[in-house]
Amino acid sequence: MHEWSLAYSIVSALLDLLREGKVKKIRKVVIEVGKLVQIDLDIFRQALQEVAGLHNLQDVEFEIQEVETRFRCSRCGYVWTWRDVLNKLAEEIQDPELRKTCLESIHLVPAAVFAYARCPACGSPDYEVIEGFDVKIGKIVGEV
Amino acid sequence: MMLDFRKYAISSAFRRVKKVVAVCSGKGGVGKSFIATGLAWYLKDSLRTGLLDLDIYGFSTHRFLCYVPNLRYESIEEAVPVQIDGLVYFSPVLLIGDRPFPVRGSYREKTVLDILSFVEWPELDVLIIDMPPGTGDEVILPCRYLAEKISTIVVTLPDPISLDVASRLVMLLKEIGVQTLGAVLNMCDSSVNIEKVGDVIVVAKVPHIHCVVSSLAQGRNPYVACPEVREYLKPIVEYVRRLVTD
Ligand SMILES: Nc1ncnc2c1ncn2[C@@H]1O[C@H](COP(=O)(O)OP(=O)(O)OP(=O)(O)O)[C@@H](O)[C@H]1O
Ligand SMILES: [Mg+2]
Ligand SMILES: [Zn+2]
Repeated sequence: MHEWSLAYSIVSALLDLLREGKVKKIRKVVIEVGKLVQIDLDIFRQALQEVAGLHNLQDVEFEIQEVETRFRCSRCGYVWTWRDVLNKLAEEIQDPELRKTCLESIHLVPAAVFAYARCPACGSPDYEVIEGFDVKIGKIVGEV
Repeated sequence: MMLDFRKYAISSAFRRVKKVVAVCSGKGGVGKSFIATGLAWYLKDSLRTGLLDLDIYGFSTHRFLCYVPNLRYESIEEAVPVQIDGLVYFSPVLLIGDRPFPVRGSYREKTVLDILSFVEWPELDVLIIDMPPGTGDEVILPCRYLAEKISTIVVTLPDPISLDVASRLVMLLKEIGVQTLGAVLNMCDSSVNIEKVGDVIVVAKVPHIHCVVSSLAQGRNPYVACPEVREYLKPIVEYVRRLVTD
């Protein structure tokens, strides 16, 4: 569901770029996807291609780059990754249904991670996501 | 090149919503959530109505509705937004339950944008938004992205200090270019002689209603348990209903 709506909005944004004449032709779009967003890359790729095809953008190449999500604690400086969060959540939330809800929440609203995860070293809720937080258009290759 | 694709996601998520009415206030604790939830609750008798709680730190509308989300069995992907007695509803409580939400800075902005983009609202005549106090991201972002369908209602207490802050909010909303439909004076005797907040007309004066306090304490929905609430909110409910159906 979410993958399709993301694809739809990205293609809409590309169409606007073309319509406004900011680019003449788009060859390639690089999309960065933070791991914590838990995008199903196959569905996302398929969605992008299909939605693009509907708007005559079937020649655009979509390159999806998965970016490791890294966190840094503002209190103790410890750095950790999404994998660490997953392990910790598996430990803390035993009920599989509740864990599903938690992961789905973070999938839909990545910042929900702040409700569910703490610094693994000191327990602080005050930390930064250094990289890999959301879905971003990294680069557009085309003709101006 | 940074490309903002949020606006497409948001207008798609709201495409079936005709009008959005945001309930705002300058100061906190003046009764926004009580009024917003009641407005939605009574509007649903005659209009297809939704309620969105956008108070990401202090979400509380579920308490007024006596709604206990079942985080265990509702897969949020399929069940969002939920239906409560015919009211179409979303609140951050569906995502994080009763956990604190220490989100700040750019993450706060993203939270608001994500909520606005992923909840697929069904056909609605009106969607009421319960706002947090003040004029932060939660207020400004919907005004930006839903500009063509959003208007506001300002809730304030009748004392000079609250009125002062509310007038500043009214001024700002004007600058943003969003229409303020009217003001509600909460905890206010009908004898109080205030007819405008800034240049916005007062459409309802709602007194302190004891039954609200006692029914909430007993875990009962005050809009059902207290018939006088319907009476006191009637002016604002009718006012919004007319504007929405015009
Ligand atoms: N007219 C009223 N009669 C009785 N109790 C009321 C009335 N209005 C509000 N309350 C109570 O006052 C408290 C604060 O109201 P409410 O939560 O609606 O304020 P708010 O403006 O939404 O606060 P916040 O700024 O924190 O979001 C609640 O417990 C509510 O039940
Ligand atoms: Mg409130
Ligand atoms: Zn730490």
